[in-house]
Amino acid sequence: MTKNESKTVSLPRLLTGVPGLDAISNGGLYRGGIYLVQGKPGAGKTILGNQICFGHVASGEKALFVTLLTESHGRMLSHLRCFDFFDPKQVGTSIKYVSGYQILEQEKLPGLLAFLRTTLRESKATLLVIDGLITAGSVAESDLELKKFLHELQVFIELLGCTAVMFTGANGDADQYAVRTMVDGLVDLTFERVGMGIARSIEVVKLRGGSYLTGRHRFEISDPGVIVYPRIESILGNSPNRSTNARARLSLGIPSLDQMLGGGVYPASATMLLGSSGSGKTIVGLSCLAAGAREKEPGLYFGFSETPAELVRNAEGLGSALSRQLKTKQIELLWQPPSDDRIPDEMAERLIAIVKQRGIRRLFIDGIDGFKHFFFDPERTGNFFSALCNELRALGVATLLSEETQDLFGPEIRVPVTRLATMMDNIVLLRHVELRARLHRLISVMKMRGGQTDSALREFSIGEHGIEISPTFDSAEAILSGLARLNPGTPESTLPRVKRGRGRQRRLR
Amino acid sequence: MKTILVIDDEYALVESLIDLLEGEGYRVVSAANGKDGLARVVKENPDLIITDFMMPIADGLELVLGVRALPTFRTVPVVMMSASDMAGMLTNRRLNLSAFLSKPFQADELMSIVHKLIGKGEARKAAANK
Repeated sequence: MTKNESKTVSLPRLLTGVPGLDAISNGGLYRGGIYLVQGKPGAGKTILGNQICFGHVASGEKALFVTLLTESHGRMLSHLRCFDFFDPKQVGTSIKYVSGYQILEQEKLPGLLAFLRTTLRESKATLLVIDGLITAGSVAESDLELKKFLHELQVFIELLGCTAVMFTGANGDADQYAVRTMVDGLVDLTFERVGMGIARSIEVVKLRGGSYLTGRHRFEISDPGVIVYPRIESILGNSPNRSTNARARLSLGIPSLDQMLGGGVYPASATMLLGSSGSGKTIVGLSCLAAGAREKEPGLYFGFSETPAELVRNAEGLGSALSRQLKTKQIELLWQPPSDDRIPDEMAERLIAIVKQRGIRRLFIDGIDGFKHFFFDPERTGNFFSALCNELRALGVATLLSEETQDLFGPEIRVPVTRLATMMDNIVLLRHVELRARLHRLISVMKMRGGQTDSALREFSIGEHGIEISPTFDSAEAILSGLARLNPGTPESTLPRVKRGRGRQRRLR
Repeated sequence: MKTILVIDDEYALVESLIDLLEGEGYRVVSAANGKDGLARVVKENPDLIITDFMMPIADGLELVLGVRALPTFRTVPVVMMSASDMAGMLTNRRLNLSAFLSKPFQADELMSIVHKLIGKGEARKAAANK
């Protein structure tokens, strides 16, 4: 007696080859399974189906693409030619395109099933894509008939070791319930308007046989085709391994600020530079990168507003060393041009890749707001930055993030991103203070995890050598509210001098 | 043309196997349980029996015991299919099975066993002769 080998727990998988998609399904589709992808017109179903086919045949296998009352094959293929994945040599050889509509119209679902069985057997395809399944549903006289069709197809393709991916225009409609219950996996494609742009997202709703990354993940359709960006909080930042060399401190390149921080920041840490526009956040961040460059520590500037050319030009006013480091790329510059279609996860993925590739030790993200702008769900902003910072910590990177406060003056300091302050290791506050119709800049360390700090408030100025911090600022009452003014009746001669005295720390709220 | 009897209560699998085996040049008859299957054995005199283990009315074990009790069919090859590995152990001990297929299996595995037991189907032979 012969016996086929006992099946192991893990079923063989079929990689779709679509960047990011196999990460969401934790390793691809299960071979022999039947999957349904649903989405409105324009969601990207036909492109995704073809991309999976071309990816599949690239590894030497065969695919069958069946259309049911969708665009003509000639027109569809001509539309696909603009994508990188399209390979004309595979069309008609490894990928067979057939229309099943005529037989569906004439012989209904039993005829279509017989047609699929014969065509699959003859083509030896290990991937079946059906585009326009909604048409099959419309000829079924009952849910039961449609379920029977799917069940019989499911059993047959499993016997052939073939995987089926079906695309339908319906999206959560009650009449597709029968189909959704039958399939091994269900994927939703959606898109919605965000500002003047479009945010596309994909969600695995059901996947029999294994775990997957739940929830919606953004994707884009560009020259390479569909690229999925799993939410970084679902894949990154989960490692408990972090550099914990408590003795090591990194200088921010500003001796007085290092002193306020008890010697500098830890190598694997996240520091927020919090302040209003023009308060000097970018200069503090660049000083940190410049100090690293002097120690041969690769640094990266990641910004949204100033172009590399503008940054180099502005750095010239802050000392020749920084300007030279930027020009010679001792400090790398990565600029994100404004666009309504940016995907935060794509930016984070690219950032992490560069950090790993170049061995970046110091990173300055100039403008958290640049990321926040692209979230269509602001609720996930905190989780996003938490994952990003954790991952960077795990990579041993000292990260500085600048965050703009909305109010130039006022008694309250608001951190626009919920939970962001709690996940930071250090917070440095830069503020403007008005006194006698003149703006002063103040700096203070509001938080430092795992170290003693000098909590005094100090005035600083920006000159040709960068930031220069004065001794403790001896302020008048309410100076921390940013509303420093003379008390009524206080003789001017009794006012404290600006560079003496002591401030007190204000609590974030 | 060689005849294969397929016995399984999963109609979709039976339909698929009929499609595949007929495509390979065999005559295929079917039944949905062990009792009907035994009647088909007597009536159709198959060259090969492919049967499921877990079935209503009479299971695969009862079917094969019944087949082996008939002098004409003591040596007819039987392939048992089941999603339960235990079925293979149970049936192998007592029934002189030709092969055991653990579900899910693929057509290639089945065809390889069928070809080994009864040779290739006529359509394929004809195609090969050309």
